[in-house]
Amino acid sequence: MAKELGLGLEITELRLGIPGDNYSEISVCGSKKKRVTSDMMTLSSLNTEDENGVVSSVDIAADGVEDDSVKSQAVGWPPVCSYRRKKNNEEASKAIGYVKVSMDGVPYLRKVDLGSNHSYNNLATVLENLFGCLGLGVALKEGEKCEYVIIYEDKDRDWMLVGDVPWLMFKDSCKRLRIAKRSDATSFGLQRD
Amino acid sequence: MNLRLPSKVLEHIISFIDSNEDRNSVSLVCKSWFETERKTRKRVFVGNCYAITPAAVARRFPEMRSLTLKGKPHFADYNLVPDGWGGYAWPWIEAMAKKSPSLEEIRLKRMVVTDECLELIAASFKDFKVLVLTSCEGFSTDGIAAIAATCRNLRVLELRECIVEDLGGDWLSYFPETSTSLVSLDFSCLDSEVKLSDLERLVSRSPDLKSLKLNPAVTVDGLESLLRRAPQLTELGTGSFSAELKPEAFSKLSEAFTNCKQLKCLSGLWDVLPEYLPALYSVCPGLTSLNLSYATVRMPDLVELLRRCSKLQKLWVMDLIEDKGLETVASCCKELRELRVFPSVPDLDATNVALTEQGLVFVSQGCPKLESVLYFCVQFTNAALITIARNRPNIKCFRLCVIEPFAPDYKTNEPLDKGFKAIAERCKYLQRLSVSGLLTDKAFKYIAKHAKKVRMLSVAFAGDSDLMLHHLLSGCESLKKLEIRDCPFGDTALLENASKLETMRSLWLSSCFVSFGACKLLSQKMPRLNVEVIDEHPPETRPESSPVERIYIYRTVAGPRLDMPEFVWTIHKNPEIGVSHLAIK
Repeated sequence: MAKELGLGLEITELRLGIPGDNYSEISVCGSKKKRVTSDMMTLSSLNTEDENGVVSSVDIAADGVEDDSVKSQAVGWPPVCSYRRKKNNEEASKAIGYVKVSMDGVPYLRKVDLGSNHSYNNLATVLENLFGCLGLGVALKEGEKCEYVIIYEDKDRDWMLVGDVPWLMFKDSCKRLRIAKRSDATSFGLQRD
Repeated sequence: MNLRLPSKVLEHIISFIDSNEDRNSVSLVCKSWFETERKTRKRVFVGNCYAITPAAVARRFPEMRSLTLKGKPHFADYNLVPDGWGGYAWPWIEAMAKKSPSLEEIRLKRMVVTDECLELIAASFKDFKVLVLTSCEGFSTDGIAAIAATCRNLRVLELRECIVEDLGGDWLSYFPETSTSLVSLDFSCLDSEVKLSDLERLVSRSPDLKSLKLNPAVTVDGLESLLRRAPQLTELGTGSFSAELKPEAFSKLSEAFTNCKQLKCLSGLWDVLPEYLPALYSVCPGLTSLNLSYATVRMPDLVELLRRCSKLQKLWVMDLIEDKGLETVASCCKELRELRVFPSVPDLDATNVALTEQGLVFVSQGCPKLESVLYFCVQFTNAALITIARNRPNIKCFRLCVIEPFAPDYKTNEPLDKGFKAIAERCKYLQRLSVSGLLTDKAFKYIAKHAKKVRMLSVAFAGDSDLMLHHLLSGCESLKKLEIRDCPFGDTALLENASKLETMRSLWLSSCFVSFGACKLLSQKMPRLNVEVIDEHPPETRPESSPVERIYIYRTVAGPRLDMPEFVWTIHKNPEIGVSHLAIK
């Protein structure tokens, strides 16, 4: 997969640290398990956990110190089975106001905390950081000019364009977000008031 | 004098033997016992689906009615086995469909099951009764619909913690309209809503239904309605409680529970609000099993519930129970045999959880029948382990997960060697052990010497050198499954103890320092082992001495498997990495 992205360099890079840690990362996203290489993860900020709370593998090279970094970063540790992890994550997310964000063409999901964002601008910046995709702010504001549109699923399970309603109203009704390709979205049956 | 028993007599005697271990022993006595045993075995268990071919199993056991199979190694539960590794049910189903059409029960764990598999099961086994899928994946609700529609004598359909492509709740409507023979239905892992009216009608026309486990999409109202229709249930997995509490709904629910006089097992309870707990009080005194491990209820709300559960034998909870709650369990649940305490937040950082080693000490003191423990805790002490061992020498399964890797005894700063030594020494019936925290090679010396009955051992972030593995492989007389991650040993111990591996079901090693070269050597030396190197990077790109990511070694009479993905390397599949003059059968 790294080669497909044209990023085969990782293999040749010399690093110190426990063997295998550079490559042993396994990410599970959505209901279809797919492998994501560490290359893809570095494209976006690792501030939020992925779907099932599996975070990236030990990267001892970065810290140089074994003990501290191991705990929070080892794959599959603590040994809680993935089904349980998923359920725990759902609980935590519901409590706090996290919604899932998917982006067309990207095989992993992210979560964003609507509670800690205060405006559409804020949200746009966070999304840009999450997916390493500049111009989402433009998508929000200027509509036609951007390749992508940002849409959300509301309480009634309708898909709506983000930005039409006041922020607080949006925050309360948004169940999940999707960054869709403009060409796909138009056939999606967007509801506009 | 002819001492041979007439075969009919022998057959009659052997038919009383249920335990497969005993039957395995019987089959080793002599040829005629082997023949008689194999012709009478009805329940077949295959612990590793790659250890033997489906055809061989079908041939050996012509009267097989029940087949249990396990696929992926245990550490697959923790995402350590990449997708696509294997564990496919298809070859087994296909073979049995042809050769064992009288099969009635199939139980699969950690296997990849497709809709085609399920459809083939439905089409092939005329008297199919039991399907239990645990931690399986690869199928959708369409496959389930096929089972429901076609298997007219279906008694048990359980999907336990499976990853299912959920295409909606229609599958439920495929059960026959006439009365069903359903005894147990578990769809707790599905997400989609099923039509309540379909479910109500199914329950009403299933007079034998004893076990029902709902998914979170079923609401409180739905639950109440179903309980009214099935007061005979002995096992219940609730739906969600997340709606706000309405007094009417609450009293209706309470009443429904009161009428369930035979309820023994209770689970589900996702999102249960503390305000709902009193509705359960009426069933508590009869409960033998309670799974609160998805319930985010905190103390002290849990106490009132627990202190009423005087017959409880199995309790699964989250660490929200705190030491205080476990103290209540210790004083009220005198019949307790199994305790599991899960972390409420998987990436536990800390110190804000009021569950410590003391909680487990309380339970070990107060519950004389305690024999199985799974305990997640941030830190531990040797003193606590020693006390637990002294209190409960009858423990058979002890799995302690000290969440902080390399965490020493937090009071003395010593490794936890002494504590685990006490467990191994005193718990003479110990069959399963998971160790954690800071451990030196010595800990493994003690375990190897004393844990004579341990069959399964899990180790993570422990030990200093090859000695640790050497101890384990040269001791531990009953060892069948060993799984190790992130430990600092290399090739020596593994190669020196190669012959031990044929006495075991499997060995899993990940993030250790075992080299490619060693794997090749081991594989050459031991032709009846499959040595699988699971590593994203092709062997040509690194030297022989470089460590590999993961190794899975298992004994097999089936030879190398034919369904390996590209990231699994063996000298059979990849002769370019093996020795060129190696004879491959």
